[in-house]
This record gives sequence, C-alpha cells and structure tokens, in this order.
Amino acid sequence: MTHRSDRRAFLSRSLALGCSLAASPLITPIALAGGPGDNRLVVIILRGAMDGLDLLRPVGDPHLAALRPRLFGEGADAPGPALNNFFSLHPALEGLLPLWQAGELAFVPATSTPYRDRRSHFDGQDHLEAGTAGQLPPALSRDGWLNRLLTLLPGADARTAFAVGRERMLILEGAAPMTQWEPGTDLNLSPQSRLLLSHLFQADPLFAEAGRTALDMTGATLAEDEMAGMMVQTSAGDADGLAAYIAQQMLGETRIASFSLSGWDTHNAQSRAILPAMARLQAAILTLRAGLGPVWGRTTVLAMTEFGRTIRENGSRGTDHGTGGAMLLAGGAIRGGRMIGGWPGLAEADMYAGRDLMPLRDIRAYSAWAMRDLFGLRASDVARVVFPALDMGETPGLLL
Amino acid sequence: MISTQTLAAIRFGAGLGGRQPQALDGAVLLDSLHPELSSADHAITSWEIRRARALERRTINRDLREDEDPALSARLQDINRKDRDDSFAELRAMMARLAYAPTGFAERLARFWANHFAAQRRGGVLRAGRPALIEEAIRPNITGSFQSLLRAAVLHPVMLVYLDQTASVGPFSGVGRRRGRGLNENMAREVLELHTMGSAGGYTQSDVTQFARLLTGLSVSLEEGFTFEPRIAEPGLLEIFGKRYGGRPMTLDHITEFLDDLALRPETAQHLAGKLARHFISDTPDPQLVAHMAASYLHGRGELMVLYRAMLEHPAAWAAPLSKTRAPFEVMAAAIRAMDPPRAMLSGLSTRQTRLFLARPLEAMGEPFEQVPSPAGYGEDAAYWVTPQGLAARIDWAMALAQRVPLAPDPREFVDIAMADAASDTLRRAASGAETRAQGVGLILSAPEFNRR
Repeated sequence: MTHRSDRRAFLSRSLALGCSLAASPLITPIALAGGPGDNRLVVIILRGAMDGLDLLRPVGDPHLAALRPRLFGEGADAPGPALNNFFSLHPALEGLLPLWQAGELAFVPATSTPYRDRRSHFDGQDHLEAGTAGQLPPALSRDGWLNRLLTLLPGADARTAFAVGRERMLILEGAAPMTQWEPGTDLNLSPQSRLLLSHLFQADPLFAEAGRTALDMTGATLAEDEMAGMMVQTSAGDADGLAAYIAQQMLGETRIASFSLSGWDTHNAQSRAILPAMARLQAAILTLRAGLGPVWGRTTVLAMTEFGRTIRENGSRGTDHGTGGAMLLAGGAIRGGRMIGGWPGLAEADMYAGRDLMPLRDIRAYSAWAMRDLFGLRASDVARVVFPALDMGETPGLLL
Repeated sequence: MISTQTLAAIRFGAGLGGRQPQALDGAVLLDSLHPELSSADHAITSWEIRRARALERRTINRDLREDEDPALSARLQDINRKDRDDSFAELRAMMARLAYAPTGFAERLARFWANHFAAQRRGGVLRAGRPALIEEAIRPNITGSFQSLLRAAVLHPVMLVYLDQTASVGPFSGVGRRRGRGLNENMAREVLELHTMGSAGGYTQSDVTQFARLLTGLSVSLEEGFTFEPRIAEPGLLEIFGKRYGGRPMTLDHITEFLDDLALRPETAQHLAGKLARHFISDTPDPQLVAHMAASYLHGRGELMVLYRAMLEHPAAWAAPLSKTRAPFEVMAAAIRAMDPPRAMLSGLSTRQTRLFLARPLEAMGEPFEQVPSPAGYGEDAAYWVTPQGLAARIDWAMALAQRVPLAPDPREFVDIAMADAASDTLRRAASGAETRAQGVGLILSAPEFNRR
C-alpha cells in the first residue's frame, strides 16, 4: 500500500463528498517545504519508576550482591548478557544485544529529573514530562517539553507530533498543535451527522480540537480498508501495536512521537513482576526498528522514567521509590555501544540520602542535547524555551 | 442563565429526565442522600464471596497440577463463570442506580469518593474487588464522618492489597527480625498524598517512613480475610507530626487513632474541600467557596454532611457555566436517564449484551469498569476525558443507543428533556437538521453540551 497520510486521505475523501467543510482548518494545504527536517525522535515514558539497577545491572560493583541479596545474590537468576566488564543487561532484554553490538543502543546509568525526596509517582511523572525544576507549575498551565520543542520547529503542524495511546500525555500537551490517537478506532456516522457534529464540536473550545481529530482520523481509516484491517490487530496497551503504528506515522509526516509503557512499580517479587514490562520495552524498540526500515538510521529513541528505586531491596523482594536511575537510548542516529555519564558507586557514602542511586546529571540535559542535535537547534533556544533555566553543560555527544 | 433546577440536576445529580423531583435545589439534593442510599438492591457481590471463590480457585489450580481431574476443571470453570457473570451484573446495577436515581446526588458522591479511594483487584486469583470496596467501605460512609470513611476505605482488604500494605513488615517485629523482612512504604505514602493531606501537605520522607512503621500489622490472606497480626507489627512508640502513637501491645487502635487525627488536619480539610469543589463545580473553584468548605469541615469535626452543605449553600456553587466534563460512566447514565427506557431493559441484558453495550464502550471511552489508572484515580480536570479517542467512543455509543431504542423520540422535544434551558441554539438547530430521529437524538447525546456537567 502507499503511505498516504491520514490527513491527505481525509482531504480527498471530503472533497469527493463535496461537503461544505471548506471553512475547516483541515483543508489548509500543508507547507511541506518548511518541514521540520528528516530526523525522528521517539520518547518512551516508563511509568511506575523503572528500576535502573535491574535494567542495567552493575554486576561489577562490589556492593551490589549485599544490597540486593535476594535479587542479585547467590541463587538469583543469571545476570543476563554482559555489555562490558561492569554492566549486564536484564536477561529479558537479550533481544536488544544486536543493537548494542551495532552501536544503536546506549545507556546513561545514573540520571534523574531534578525532582527530589517526595518520591510520588504522579508528581514525579509530571516533573519528567513538564521538564521543569522546582515547584510544578499549576496543573492548568502545565505543558510538556516535547510540546515546547514543537514551537521551535519551523513548519511543524498537528501531524508532526503524535502522542500514541488512550491516555493523555503531559509531555506533548501544550499550545503547539499535536495529535493524540490510539490505533484501531473506527466510527460509523452518516456524512450529514459527521458535518453537524463537526459544527457542534467547533462551538466548544475544550472539545474543538479533540472532536475535529476524532472525526478526521475515523473518517480517514474508513476510507482505507487495508489500513483499517491492519489497525484492528493492534489492541490497547499492546507495545508492538503502538510501536508499529508510530513507525507507520513516522514514515510519513510525523517526526516526534511519545507513548508510555507502564508496569514498573515493582514493590513485590520484582524478579518476576518486572518481566512483562521488560518484554514490552524490548518489543517496542525492536518493532520500531523493524517498522522504520531505512528511517531507523535517522531515529533516536529515549526511554526514561520518573525516578529510580531504592538500591536496597525491601522486605518483600521488591524495591521502593528512589531517586537516580538509568535512561536508555536507541536508534540508528545515536552513537551507541557505550555508557554515558559515569557511575556513582553503591557504597553507603556514594548513595543519595543513604538509600538511592546518586544521579550524576539532570536527565533534561540529555534530552536537550539530543533535540539540539536532531533538529539543528541552537542550544540557547533549547535552554530558553524547552527547558527554561536548565544548565545544559557540555555536550555528551549523543548522536553520530 | 441556567436555572437552579437544571444546574442541580446536571452539576450535582445524574442529569435531566428520568423522575427527578419537580423542584430541585441544594436543600432537596441534601435531603435526597439518605433515602437514595438506603434503597438497597443487593446487587454487589461481597468481598467475602469473592475471597471464598479465589481461595477455591487457588486450591483447584494446585490440585489440577497433580491430577487432571475433569470434575475439578468443570468446577473451576463454574467459579470463573460465576465471578464474571456477577461482575457484569454489578456493572448493570451500578449503571441503573445512577440512571434511575431520583436525583443521583448520592451516586455522584459515591463515585467521587470511590475515585478518591481508588483501588482495584490486583492480579492473581482474585478476579474482582473494586465494586465490593465501594459497596462495603464507601457507600455506607459517605454521609457519616470522614474518619469513618477513611478507616473503612484504607482498611478494606482490596485497598490493603492494592497498596502493598500486606507486604510490609515491621523490621523490629517478631517476623521482621526472624526473617529479615522489612517495610513497604507504598500505602503510607499514598494515604498521606492522595487520601488525606495531599501532595502539598508538607509532610516529609521521615513522616512517610514513621507512618509505614505504624501501619505494619495489617494483613490479608485468602484463608482468613483481613486480620491484624501483632507478629508483623513494629513495636515501640512512633512520633508523627509531634504526637506519639503505637506502643505495646500492638493493636489496630493505634492505626485508627492516627487515621482519625489525620482526617482532622487542616491540610486534609483543604485537600478534600478543594478536590470536591473541583470535581463538581469548576477546575478553578472560587477560593472563598473552598475556604468555606474547609472551615465548615473542621468545625463540623469531619462530618461529611456538613461539608456537602457548605458546598451547596455557597452561591459560587451555582454559578454558570457548566464547565466540567461528564466522565464516561456519567455520560452513559445521563443518556440512559434522558432516553428513559424501562429499567428492566437494562437489568435484563445478558452478560454478552452487557459487555457489548456497557463494558467495552466504557473501556473505549477511557473508564474501564472495575479499573482505576493508578492509586490517584481518574483525573479531575475537565480536559481529562476530552481526547479524540474518548470522543470517538462517546459518539459511537450515543449513536448506537439512539438507534437501539425502537421508537426514537423527536429530537426537537428530546433536546428539552435532555438539556432543558442548558441547550444552546446551535444544538437545537443541529438536532432539528438531522436526517432521522435516531441520528438527531444521537447528535444531542454526542454533543459537547451533553458531555458537560
């Protein structure tokens, strides 16, 4: 099939119907010339506080086994494939090993947002997605850093960035137009009802944009049976499906996408409880790589979480909310096969607050440099608009 | 200008239509709470029955590993079917309660508190739990004191399991010392952050840890249900917010004493008042309204009727416009209420029909029955539900409902039943411009205005 964009499919369909949607902003021709470049950025939010010490296991650290006797001590499962002489990968991520070897996978072992000490998932995720330091702005005026990035991209429109999934994602909320969609939705409406509804939705500012997208996207999928058939297979919460859908969009106009993978809040029996989440993460990355084909070479994937978990295991073979943790980078555009940003150590004196992994650098600095390199932005613009008041520091040289 | 009658029905009640009282205002809403809560339909399967089934399920599963006895497999299927059928019956009953209530204010409050104390079953052999928690811990307590509500909700087995309290052991308790087990501070944190003081409550990590120590001893097992186990309870006195709790012998009273104190803290009053006002009235409620509610709550020593009265008696509670968004469950109930099919049509749905007509649409709109997105529950701001996805599902369901009713009403009359003086001219024009009656009714039920409250 041809990769017609949903919008263009909708346009031709609307015109064919001859309906009086001419006043709709949808009919505005897209300025392809000033598009936001060729590089792609995917941000995966790992909700629930992913245990970086489990994903990227510092088996070379002499303190690890004593701090996590039941998770990593004697009798625990095999540590997983070795990445170097210090870190091993979680065994459930073994499928990512070829990416590591090809230089398409990298890790920042010890990073975090500036959020400290309260360790609330909800506040932590809001900090991660808002990309602000200190007090969170009031909920109503909160926007996400990927949305602020959009305001710096010339020619960006609503299809440039996709939040994929049923839930809203703060990271892409804000003033700049973007699209949120979950693959697999359909709608059976007569053309007349569709038209009347579009007027009703336009009359209410809160519902206008979402209503327009709902009518637009369902109209488009109805027109393309082949695509509709393909989408039915992608059910909610299915990491492969989300990733495949994103890859499909990114082969078209889309340059930025974000979605979340949850299931990381492993307070109990972590060695078993974390497996489904790991499997979803691996499936998402491998599906993106396969689906993007040649475009993978221009793609950067950042997977990040709201905060890490306690270094010591808790009383129920799990871990509790902590501070520092790992960030995962993947993609053909990155300079991979390496660890970035150093390792703080697990000795008592090296811990944060005597319990957590010490973050060595603000996670926003990595996102900032990745955006600057991917979209040819000025570092000063990124620090001013996307992450206000962030000291970006030296470039970590994330991209090739 | 929207009339008090309409505001009362849409903002605080289940919506227009149905059989609401002729004159509806704040006083009528308050008076409706007790009678509407006491009309029991015994439709919710108790946690005890769910627990007994889970226990049997676990036993059979173990036995089946030894011996593939067809009689055991059949018994297992039977239990699973019962659990599933009961869940769909619960969904029908809860929908009917809201749709057919005289005012629906009690059910709306029950929904608010059920979301405030968001919890659900947690994997494994227990197949349900949220409706039982709501029925046993929330509904009986929403017209009492917040202390009673807090105790009942926090100590309910579904909540204890959901927030990992059952995995927490006092490090210096008998079991803690012998087996080297320790604290899990999840529930302590969530009770402070979500249920009482709020994330702006000013407590510290050390308060959370001390509270987690105090909470040890709470236990749930499939064999015995909820028990307090001194063997896992942290001994000794614990100081939280400048007051000492606990000590020997370790009893449940130490925990409830702290919960009672927590309920009456000014941070809690502020958190509850602000959230209730945001839920019912506006994303940015009048600060004077919230202050009045919080002060009344403290003055009334946590009596919730006093809190509700304070909200309803304040003029800011009756200001237009309708700026909040109906949750999926609420918009479905309001649509059914306005269409007013015989109640038996809803209660007579089969399991399969319930799945198609209620369960799947709810999920597609973003509010799957029996589930919560996190311990924080569903978001309270108006924009939370307004996604392309959710709207597509709302349109789809409303159109299907309108087409499902044998003789759809005339849209020009239906707009008065469903929206009364809250209907805009745009909506009236669109309704009369539809191709068929059913499409017109479906349009009204899909319109942004109908999705507001």
